[in-house]
Amino acid sequence: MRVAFFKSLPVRLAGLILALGGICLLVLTELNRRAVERILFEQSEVQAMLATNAVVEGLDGVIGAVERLTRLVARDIEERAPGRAELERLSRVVLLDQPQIFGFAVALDPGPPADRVGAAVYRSQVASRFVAFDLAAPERAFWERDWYREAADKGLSAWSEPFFDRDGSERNVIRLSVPVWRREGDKRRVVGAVSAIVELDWLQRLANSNEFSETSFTIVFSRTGRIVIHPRDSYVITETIDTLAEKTNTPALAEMRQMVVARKQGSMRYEEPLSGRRVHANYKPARTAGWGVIFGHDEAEFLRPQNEFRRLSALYLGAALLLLAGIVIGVTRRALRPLGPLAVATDEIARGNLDCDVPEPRRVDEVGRLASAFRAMRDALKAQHLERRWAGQALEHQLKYNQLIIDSIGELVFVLTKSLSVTRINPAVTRFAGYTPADVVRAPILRLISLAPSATDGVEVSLAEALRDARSLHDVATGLRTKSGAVLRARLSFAPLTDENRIVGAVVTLRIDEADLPPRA
Amino acid sequence: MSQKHILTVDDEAEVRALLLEVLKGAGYRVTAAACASEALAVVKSDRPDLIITDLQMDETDGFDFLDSLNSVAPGIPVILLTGVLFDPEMIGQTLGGRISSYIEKTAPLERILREVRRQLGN
Repeated sequence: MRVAFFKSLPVRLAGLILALGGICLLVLTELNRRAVERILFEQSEVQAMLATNAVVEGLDGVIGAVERLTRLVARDIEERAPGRAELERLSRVVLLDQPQIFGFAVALDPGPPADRVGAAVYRSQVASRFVAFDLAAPERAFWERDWYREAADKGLSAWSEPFFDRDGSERNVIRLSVPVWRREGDKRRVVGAVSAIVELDWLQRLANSNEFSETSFTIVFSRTGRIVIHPRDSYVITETIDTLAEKTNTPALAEMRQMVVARKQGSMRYEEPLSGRRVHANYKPARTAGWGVIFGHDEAEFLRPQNEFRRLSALYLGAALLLLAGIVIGVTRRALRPLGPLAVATDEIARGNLDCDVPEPRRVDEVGRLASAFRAMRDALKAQHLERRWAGQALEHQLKYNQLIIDSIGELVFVLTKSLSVTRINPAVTRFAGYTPADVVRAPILRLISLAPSATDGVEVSLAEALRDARSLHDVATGLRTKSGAVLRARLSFAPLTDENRIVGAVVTLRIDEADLPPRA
Repeated sequence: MSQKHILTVDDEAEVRALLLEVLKGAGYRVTAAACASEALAVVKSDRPDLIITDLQMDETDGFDFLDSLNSVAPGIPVILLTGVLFDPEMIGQTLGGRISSYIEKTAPLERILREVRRQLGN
């Protein structure tokens, strides 16, 4: 009978190795994944912090430079009374010198309306060209504009919130307004304002120039939380960090803003509900303008090499496991090959064929020993079988001859049990008394015979007592009742049968008196 | 090394078959004869190294066979397998000079084999 492939021992062993190996590999891979992941996260944490610092430094550098230059111009014209042409020239020089400034405006209002003078210069859409405006013209009326009023009324330098510069640069910008002071006697008063406009796109390019990773992004928000830079342009100006946190269900953004407001730096990990990706974000306040920077990246990107390594490892290890399983199957099948013929031989022996072929033990390993022991068992079984056959025929031979001897005895023989019941008779009983075995077997012997009192002392002879005492009786006068009812005179001999001092039965023999013998034919 | 030749003589087919199987299994070359004349023919044509014989035979008894054997091929060791009709003591007393050993048929085969090996010196 062939064993089904999937139930065979080699395949089971291979399956076991695959399962155990697989579990071990999974555990090891998981432990390795956690260790490598921790290292990668630590590395990415450091790199992200450096990148965040670089972004903040870049912004601080740009904004600081704009602040310094604008204040320098404001101080330069404090005690002078330049005309529009000079203001326009000054603005052009600033734009030529500072590429991060998109537009520059200088306006003075020293007293009488006739003395108002102002010029603004913007970069043109055409490369290396500028567009100039007369800010004192009635349609521009700088003294009514917010940028001027903020500086002139409060006497403070201030960065605006990001806004769309309508009727000006026509783009998203931020603006710095610096008041121009003039001494009049013992007092100083504001007589004008200098304004620099920085394009948000330029800032964005600056922020993005820091190539950290494919998925990294920069969010810059103003003092009030208004979005200044964001990978998604539609959020710029229109959203604040808080509205964005609510809209995207990302409370981590609002938490980071709170930390920035508290002038704290750090990092946070969160999951973006919309994309489902895990984000690692660093936050840091900028030194100037009260801005905050959030620099984030997708965690999965840093795990990509690890995932690739894991995929390759799984492939190689899987292949190695399969190879190992194949080797196990091959080696085990080779090792267990004799078991098949042994099983066949076992079946044959079970059917009684002790001459079946048993594989010769060719090896000295356990399977070889098994084959050798199996052959020895087969030979022993065969020897026992022969012995049984021999003993059987010997017993049959002995019984046959014993019976022949008993049957040949001319006297009547009764074999008795311990309770003196007949178990066997010889043919002489049938011949002289007419009883067949069916007539007398199990019958008490005393129903067939009657013993006469002893001739010497006249005491009645008892077979039961003789049997109990294991005593033989000889030549006791006896009457035998035949099947036809006649009584024949006979001489009785009684011999107890003992087996190792234990009485097991008795034999009675009767010799019929010559006078009562039937006449011979 | 050539195989030792054993001649078994018995009028009972079952006994002949069993002895043949056991002795062949033990590595001997075995010839089985059912009667004395057949056995004597074998002795003349292919002298055996050992004879295992019963005393009871169809056409004669073992005593006559042993006498004939002694004259045809003297010196061949003989193991006598005795049945129930024979008294082992009597056999020993009367045939002691003409046979090498005698074993009752009720003895186990293993004992017969042991005696065969002893007689053949291996």
